[in-house]
Amino acid sequence: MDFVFYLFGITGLVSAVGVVAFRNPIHSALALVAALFSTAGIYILLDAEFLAVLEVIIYAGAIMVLFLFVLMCLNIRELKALPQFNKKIRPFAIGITAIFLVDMVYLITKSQFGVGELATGKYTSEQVAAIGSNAKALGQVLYTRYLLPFEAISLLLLVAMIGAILLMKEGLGRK
Amino acid sequence: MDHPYLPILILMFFAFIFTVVTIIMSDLARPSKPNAEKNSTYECGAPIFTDARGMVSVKYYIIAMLFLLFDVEAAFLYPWAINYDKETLGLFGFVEIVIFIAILLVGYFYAWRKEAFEWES
Repeated sequence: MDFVFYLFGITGLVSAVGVVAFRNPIHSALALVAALFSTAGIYILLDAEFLAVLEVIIYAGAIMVLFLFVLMCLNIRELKALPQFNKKIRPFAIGITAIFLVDMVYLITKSQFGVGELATGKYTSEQVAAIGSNAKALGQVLYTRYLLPFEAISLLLLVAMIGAILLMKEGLGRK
Repeated sequence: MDHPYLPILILMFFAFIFTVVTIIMSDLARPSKPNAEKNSTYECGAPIFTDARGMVSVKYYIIAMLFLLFDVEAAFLYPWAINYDKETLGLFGFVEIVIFIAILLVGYFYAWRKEAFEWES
């Protein structure tokens, strides 16, 4: 099982580096698909099948389609050289990265790779297995206890939909 | 080593090996006599008339955006569908999902009225 974890971990890391290192934006987008697939593989190792399936359907599917269309709409060509950091941004970039590094070191050292002591909620792997499946356990809390956030999501999606249509129609009308 | 997803991993492994072996074998087996015509991009046999990196219409963006939003909506229906029975959700769950879909249906009709599904407008 360890071998499979390292397999997905390494492919995920390598392709994530590829996303920022490739000069051709389409290659970057494809590397992002590989990174998302590796993440889905790790989710499966953590017994979170539903999350893994959503990762593939929504991120590697729908969001990547959106990214590729945006790339094609903007007509970004292959970069001659990788863009350099703006000197003014550098301190902020280093600062934010440092905060994330401290966070990750804290999580890893405190919890033996994250799934140890920190994951002490009611829904452990055994509990979920007793309910039947991941999606079933998720549904049982989402549609009862978290009813309001669930209905709020539909409003959020509605706002996104109307916003996108409005922006595009306005833009086309003004031309 | 009895993980329920092991067969999928094995399938992925063989798909990867098959692809790599096919590419390497065809590279070794074929004669190499390149010319300009052979090296040009294959476009269903038609001569290439422009660069592949032309700008596509921004209308594709709205199609992708609507696909993404309805995809997220559909994702929320899976856990509901497998929990939908008399004991767990019942009528309460039914009303809840109808409200959820009704709110998104407003967006659907908005997109329809604004002719977001029409290519020419």
